[in-house]
Parts: sequence; structure tokens; C-alpha cells
Amino acid sequence: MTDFYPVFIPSTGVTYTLLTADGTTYSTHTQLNVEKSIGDFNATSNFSAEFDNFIGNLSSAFSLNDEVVIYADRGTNPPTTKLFTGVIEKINFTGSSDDERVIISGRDYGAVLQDMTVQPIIFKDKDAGEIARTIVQNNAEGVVTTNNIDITTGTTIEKIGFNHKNVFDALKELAELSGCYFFVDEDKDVNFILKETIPSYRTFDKNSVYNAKFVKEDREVFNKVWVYGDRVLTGNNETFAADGTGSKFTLTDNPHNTRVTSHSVLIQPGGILGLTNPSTETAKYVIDFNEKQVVFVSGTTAGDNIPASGTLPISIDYERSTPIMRFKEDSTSITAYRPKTKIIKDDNIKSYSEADTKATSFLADNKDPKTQGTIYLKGVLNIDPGNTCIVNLPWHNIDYQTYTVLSASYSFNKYNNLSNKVMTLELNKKIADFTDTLKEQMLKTRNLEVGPLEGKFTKLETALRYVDVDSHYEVWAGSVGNNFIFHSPKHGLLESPDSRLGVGNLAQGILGSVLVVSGGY
Amino acid sequence: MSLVDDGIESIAAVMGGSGAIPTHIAIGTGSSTVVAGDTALTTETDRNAITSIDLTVAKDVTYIADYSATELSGTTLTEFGLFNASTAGSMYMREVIGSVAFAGDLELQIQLSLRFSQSGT
Repeated sequence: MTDFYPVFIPSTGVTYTLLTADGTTYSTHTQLNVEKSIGDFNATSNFSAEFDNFIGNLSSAFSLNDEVVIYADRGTNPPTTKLFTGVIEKINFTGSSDDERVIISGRDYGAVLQDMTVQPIIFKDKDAGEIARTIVQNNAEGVVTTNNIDITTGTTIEKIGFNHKNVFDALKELAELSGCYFFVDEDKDVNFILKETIPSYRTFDKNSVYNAKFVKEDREVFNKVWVYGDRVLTGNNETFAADGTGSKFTLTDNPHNTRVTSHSVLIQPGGILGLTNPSTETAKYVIDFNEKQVVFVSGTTAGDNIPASGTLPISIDYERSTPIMRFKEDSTSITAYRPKTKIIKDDNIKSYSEADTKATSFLADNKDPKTQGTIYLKGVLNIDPGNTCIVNLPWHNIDYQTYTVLSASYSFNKYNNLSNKVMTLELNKKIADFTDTLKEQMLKTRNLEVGPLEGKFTKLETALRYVDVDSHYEVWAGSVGNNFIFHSPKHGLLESPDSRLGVGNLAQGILGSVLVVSGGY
Repeated sequence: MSLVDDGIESIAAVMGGSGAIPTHIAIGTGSSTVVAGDTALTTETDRNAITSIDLTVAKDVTYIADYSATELSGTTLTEFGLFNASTAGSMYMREVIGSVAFAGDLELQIQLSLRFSQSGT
């Protein structure tokens, strides 16, 4: 007896995929995953592909750094729509000889942005997009292109510096400051685009969503933000009258690098209160930093250093350490979600405007609760991260709301391809997870390692400029007839067979010359 | 008109104060496709000094050279280029055109222009 099983025979719209590695086409993968994401997702696009490696038939097929291109289409076999371009970064063999598999994985060319760091540089009064373009051109030239970096985002950054921050994180910072997002597309071109400006014109509802998950939480709401930059030393001078007996002189600020003169004579050496012992050391005065005081000492070793009386005999030069700090808060958010404070410390912030820009953009991004959605789609294949889409899922209390696509994940295998359930979208705002927290700590560590942005190795850069050179040509011909041409080396010589009688030549603008051919701009 | 690699390098060198500006325009009878790596005309037949350099249009520079009917006689012009020396030298630009025959009764003037602009404008 023969058993018959119902078989799903697709009519149209089945998903087909194809992978090329170093120019060779492979279509025998059993599982193919692609994740396309934008910078907001804190990751670059990546892929993994699993093949049967029966008796090692693919044992030498792949090499690290081979370029991988993945194509996918519905209803077209072989597929022609390029979905992903990247390189192999890992080759993993697993199994035994009869059940051998090989899994290759890697990232797209956004990996370059993660692997390269920005040479120390400071930008002044430049559009965020222009800065982004310069950073990519200076640090990843030849690997990725910059054709789709919007250099007119409308956000002019008064001053910003980078010191060996990796290019990806530098672009992420610029994107956050300017309301943009970025990614590297399948043509190896860096896109830096204002958010919510490119709609996908797609609405996802019960017909296309077979599963959904939306999380909204206020864990990452911050409505009071303190931004601390570097500290700046500024000079000050204060003078004091002396009565001949008083030894303590109180300054306005805590003193750094103090120089004390009494009756126009430099008093030295100085010491530190509590560390320097006047009875055994020669310090003539000590600094009480916390009390902001200069205290003249007297003792067996130090001698009597109390200033003699006079109207203004004591002059103290010192430096004040002023912090670059900006505080901002959002009262609406405080009322709605209770006060939540964030402190940002970045020694690379060297000016008030930088601190202000940072505080403003951070507050705008974090004063409201974040919603992160995940929708599992059927019958959908091409949505680019960064595009907006409309979601209508009433049972999630979402009625035709517009969301930004953070990432698009594809899971291709024979089951998903037949049922067209290959795509998952992450929407709106990334809620920080363990990976993001770990990355933040790594960035802080790196900042400590490279130190603040200053010194002779720092380049003050406005922007790298390119000049286009266009060309144009015109070829003119004119009949010389029997003209005699004065000053002509050919037709103006007496007794020369070339000499002719008449007026002018072409170079002198003779009438009747014709444009034979022209080209260029 | 196509700027070739030699020309681009020469422009950069001139900007750095070490290169030579264009001084001659050469003509020839070759017809091979212009490629960035070209360093000379395919078949050069004559080369004349530039008679004038026109800078009247902002951001443009135009080089003009003249050729007499006698020296052109019998030539079928198909290519020309911009050079910075009377012989050999660096070629800035090369262009291939449809053939123009000269039988001794036509003189020729070639005008080559470069326009500089900020990238993307």
C-alpha cells in the first residue's frame, strides 16, 4: 500500500536565493541567514551560510576574505536582486566525514568602518554629513565610497573631535547628533541619511504579519542630563594688603600652578599644606587647596616669611580649573516618568558648544520611552533598513503607526522559502541590551587608553576637498585660399611657396572658418 | 576630451610648484580608444606651440594652437593631445575624433579648455 502525503506545490512567488563566493556560484546551502541593519542597531550587516560538505566536497571551496554576494527574489530563478555584499570572516567545519557541514559567515563592508579608527582630528563649523564624508574618505578610502552621504543634513556642528574612535562609532555619534542613520549598502557605498525621509510605502498588518512582539519600557528614559567635558585652566591674579602679622590669604578659586610675589619679590619654594613640614623643609608658603588659601610659614628652617605690611604687597598668580559642563532637563518627561539622571563624561569635549550639542541630542533621543518591535513577515522580501513603514496591529494597540526599520533579518531555507516566511523586521528604537552596555564600557576604556584629544599629533581639519576637472575642445578649420598672411611663419614669407596674399589667418579670426568638431562640457 | 593620468599628476605637481604647465598641442592619425594610462598620441604627426592661453572665463583655462595649411597638407587628423614640452613630455589630455582630411587648402586651430570646479557642484 502506498501512502500519500499532501504536498504544498507553490504556484508563484516562491523565494529563490543564490550565493557567490569569490565569483563562484553556490546554490546548495541548507540554511542562509542575512541580517541587514543600520547604525542605530549598533551592528553592521552580516551573513552566515551553511552547506552540506559531503565527503569534503567543499573543503577547499571557501577562503577568508572571499567576497560574498547574496541574491534573493520571489518567483525568479535564478534570482537577480542583490541583497548583500560582504566578505567571509569565519569558516567553520563541523561533523564527521559522512555528515560534514561547513558554515561560512562574515560581515558586509561596514566591517571596515568597525575595524578602522579615526586619526586624531577636530572639525569646526561643518555639517554633520560633511564631517561623516570626510571621516570615511580619510580613513576608509578605496574600500567604501561616499556617494550617498548627505552633506546637507542641516545640522552644523560647531566643534567636534575624534581620537582613534572607530569609524563606525564616529559615524554613529554624528548620526545621533544630526538625526541621521547610516549603513553600507550592497554596492559598498556608505549611506548617511536623515531619518524618516525615505518611506517604504509598505503597510504591515494581519495579512503580512504572522507574529509580532512589541516592547515599550522606560528603563532607558533620561530626562536630566549632565555632560562633563575636559577641564580648562584659566589664569587669574589676586592682590592682597598685608598687615605684617597675618599669614593666610584666601583666593576666590582653588589654585593650580601658583606663583606668589611679596613686595615684588618672587617667593619660592612653595609647598602643600599637610605634606610639607615648614620646620624641616624650606618651603616659604604652603597651599591649602581645599580652603583656597596661600599660607606663609615661619620656622627654624623656613625662616620668618610673614609678609611685611603694605597696601598691596602680595600678588598671587594662579590658574583656575574650570570644568566644561552642560546640564539640560525636560520637564514634561520628568512629570511623566519621574526624574532620571544621566551623566556623560567625555574628555574629548573641549568646548561649551560641544557639551551643549551633546546634551541636547541625548535628551531629545532619550526623554521618551523606547518602543522596540519585532514583526515576522510572510510574502515580503525587500525592505531596506532605515526606511519607514506603517504598522497596523490593533491587538498590540498599534493603529497605523509609522516606524523606522532598524534591521531586516532573513532566514532562507527550503521550508521558509516555500512558505515565503523569510523575513523579520526590528522596528523603531533599539533598547540597549547586554551587548550595547558592554560596547559602551569598551569605548570608555579605549578613550582612557588613547587619552584626550590634544597635542601636536592632532590635526585641525575643516574638510578634505576634491576638485573636478572638466574639459572641452573645439577644432576649427578655415580655407587659406591665396591669402598672404603677415607674421605667419608659413604664409608670410617672401619667396616661399607657402606665402599667399590676402587678409589674416584663422588664428586672427578670419571670417568663414568652420567648427569641425567639438566635445566635452 | 579626456584627461589622462599623466595630466592629473601634472596638475597636482603644478599646484605643488614642481610641474610644467601645458605648452604644446600635438596632432596625429591614431585612433585607439583613449584610456587613463595614455602617455602619448598613438601616431603623432605634428606638434605646435600654444599661441595663446585664455583665462577670461573664471575657473576656465583655454589653450589655443594653430597649424598652417602647408604643414597639415596630406594629413588625416584623428587625434590630438595637450603636452608640456615640444617633444615627448607629459600628456595632459588626449582626444580621438572622426577623421578630418587636409589637402593643403585648410588651416587648423585647436582650442582645449579645462574647467575646475568643486567636486559635486
